[in-house]
Amino acid sequence: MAQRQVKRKVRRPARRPAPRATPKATQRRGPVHIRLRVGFILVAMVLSVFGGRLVQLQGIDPHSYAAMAAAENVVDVVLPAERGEILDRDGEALADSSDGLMVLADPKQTKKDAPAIAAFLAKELGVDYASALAKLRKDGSRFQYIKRQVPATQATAAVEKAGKEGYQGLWTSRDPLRNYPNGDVAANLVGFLGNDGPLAGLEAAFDKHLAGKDGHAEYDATSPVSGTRMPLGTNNRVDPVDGNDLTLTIDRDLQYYVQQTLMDAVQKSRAESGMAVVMDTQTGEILSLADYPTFDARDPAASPKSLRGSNALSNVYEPGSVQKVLTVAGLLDQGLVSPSTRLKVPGSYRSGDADIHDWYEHGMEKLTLAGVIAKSSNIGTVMAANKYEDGQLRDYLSAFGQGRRTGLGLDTESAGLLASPEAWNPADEDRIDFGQSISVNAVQMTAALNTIANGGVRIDPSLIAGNATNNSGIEVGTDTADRTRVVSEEAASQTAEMMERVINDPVNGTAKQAAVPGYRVSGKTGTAQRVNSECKCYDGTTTVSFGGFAPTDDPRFTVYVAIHNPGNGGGGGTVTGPVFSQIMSFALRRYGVPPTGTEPSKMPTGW
Amino acid sequence: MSIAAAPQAPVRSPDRANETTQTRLTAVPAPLPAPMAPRLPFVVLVSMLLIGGVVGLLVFNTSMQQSAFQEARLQEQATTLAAREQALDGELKKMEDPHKIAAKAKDLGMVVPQNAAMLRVPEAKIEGEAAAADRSATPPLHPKVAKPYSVLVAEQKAAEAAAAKKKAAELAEKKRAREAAEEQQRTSSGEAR
Repeated sequence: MAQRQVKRKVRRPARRPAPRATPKATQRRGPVHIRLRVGFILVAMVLSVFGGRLVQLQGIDPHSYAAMAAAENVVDVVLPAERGEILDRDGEALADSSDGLMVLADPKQTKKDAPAIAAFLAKELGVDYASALAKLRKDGSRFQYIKRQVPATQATAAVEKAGKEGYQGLWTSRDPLRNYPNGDVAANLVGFLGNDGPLAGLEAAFDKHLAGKDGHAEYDATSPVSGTRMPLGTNNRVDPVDGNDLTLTIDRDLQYYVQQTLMDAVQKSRAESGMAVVMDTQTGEILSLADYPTFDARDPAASPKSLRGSNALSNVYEPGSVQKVLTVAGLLDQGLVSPSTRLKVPGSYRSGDADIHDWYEHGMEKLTLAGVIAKSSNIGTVMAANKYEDGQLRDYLSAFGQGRRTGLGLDTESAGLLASPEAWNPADEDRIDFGQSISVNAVQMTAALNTIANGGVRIDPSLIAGNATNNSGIEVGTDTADRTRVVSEEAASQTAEMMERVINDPVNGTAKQAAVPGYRVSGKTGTAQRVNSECKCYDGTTTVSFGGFAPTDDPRFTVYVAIHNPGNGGGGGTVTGPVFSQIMSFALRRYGVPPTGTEPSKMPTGW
Repeated sequence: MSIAAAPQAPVRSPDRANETTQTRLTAVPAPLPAPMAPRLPFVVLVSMLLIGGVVGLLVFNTSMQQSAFQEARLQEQATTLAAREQALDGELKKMEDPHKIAAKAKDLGMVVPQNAAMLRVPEAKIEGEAAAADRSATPPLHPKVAKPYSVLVAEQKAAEAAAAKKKAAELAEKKRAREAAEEQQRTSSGEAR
């Protein structure tokens, strides 16, 4: 423009050979050469400004302006990856994701209408009026969370409605929603997701497996607000990689039943806590793993932190008499005893510098080995176990899986305590025979009992169907479960029959309550003194437990129940026996397992 | 070859040479003026192409832009519908919550069977023992999560502490009352003295 004006000025004298006509005009404008010179100088000045600008744009900083121009209309949106679901064995969701939004407010805009908007939000989103009002009025802030993890439909509808009613300063942003449709069912295993990441259970342990990777799309838009794509513009797209689903071996409905039954038993016996495990005998799959008390995955904050995981895995305790089954199975495997081995059991037995007693007062008793198990005699067990050579018992217990983690994939699992060969001594061994001086977690104990049920072959318990790699890089699941023979098939079946006498021997049996009518059932009670963590001593409270399997001659399920500190003074038979029976009965019926129809064991228990 | 041919050239008769030269120099008849293509159709064609191109481009661009808007609209619709589907799916899943099903079943008077017998139809045999379905195998319904033990203990402790405090306060009150009474007695007796 400027150039053109200048040119016109310059040309003017040429167009008008005017001096002839108006000599006075020439004099007014000065001589031609002066006007030309002034004109050239002006042109040169303007051009040099242009030149300088050119050098600045192209020479010194060539990219920033281009980038700014490009950025003006380029939109970069995150394409969210969907977090994998956690499913039960039938594909029912235990945890799933859906689109969620957070509702945000700009107090600068909302301040003037704050009471009206707060009332509106309280009605539409169910937020607390007073706290919403405070947020909407917050001075010097331009960003306030009104509510997080709102279902997308609800949030969008609310913000649109707000716009229609003339309320400014509300908007939404992506905030994926994690749903736990079953509340506390399997919450101890599944864990939960906090606002900013996984905090417990499988959600945390398998976060990398579940998370997936967000993608993004970058494109030219007609306006950055509307985001309408400009055809033929830049278009870079990285597709999101959705997370993998995690299928568990848990059976949701069975899990519910087990949790409710356990809760009922814990509350009725005025106990402190309880745990129950149901395992598929032939595959080692954990069908149910219940803890009580537990928490609601939809509202984890309502429960104390200590309950937001699985105590069945993280808490270890002395197993008590259930351990006798393992001691005896090893003896049978070695051929050192048989179920009909006759023992004269005295009322007290000297071991190390202390006496061992039975749970009931008695004089000299004549029991067979089967009777020792049925009646749960500590002294009888110790006498039989004296036939072990040094180190043999420890090898068996280690092979049964005690003293090491079961490898379910949860890092919170505790390994329990099995004395090392160096620390092993005869007095401790006598106590380990009947389940003292050793500590286990509930799943370890279930897997050990399952070894007897499965004909002497131990299967690694698994919680994940197929396989999956957890955050520590360990691959776990049914595909990776190892099978190892621990005791011979004969030893296992003899042990199973002796365990049947625990339930069906009318005289010496300790757990008639654990029977399942119509089925042959094997099991063993346990009542162990609890070690108080403060004084490192037995504080008089007990852990009562019952573990067993059914049908005895072709086991399908192994069930283990332990209840800590029952306030009613009950033992393994009275407190946990009925729970075992209910759970076993439900599982057998649910999976359509018919009774085997064989005659129950009538092994003699006394002589 | 050219070496062999070269000496021949001078041998040519001058006549002939002349002749050739003359033939070469003969004025060629002026070339016919190139046939003039009619100018108008060409101009029209080019203009048509140009206009057609420009208009086509314009229409194409417009339609692209139009479809971009439509895409955005449909995308938004798809997102809304997907969110709606998810919301409905979530509702369905919530209805499948075992807690809810158990509660509904209880309302209908249903219980968990105590023990069931199995029929083997081919052999006409009954296996197992059927038992009357009473309520004994049905776990009670509880609120979503019953109060955890630790909370109960904490509450009990708090209650005990509160009771102890109250008792202490009462005792202190009594003591004060007694002291006040004694004081009064003393003063009154002192007055009497």
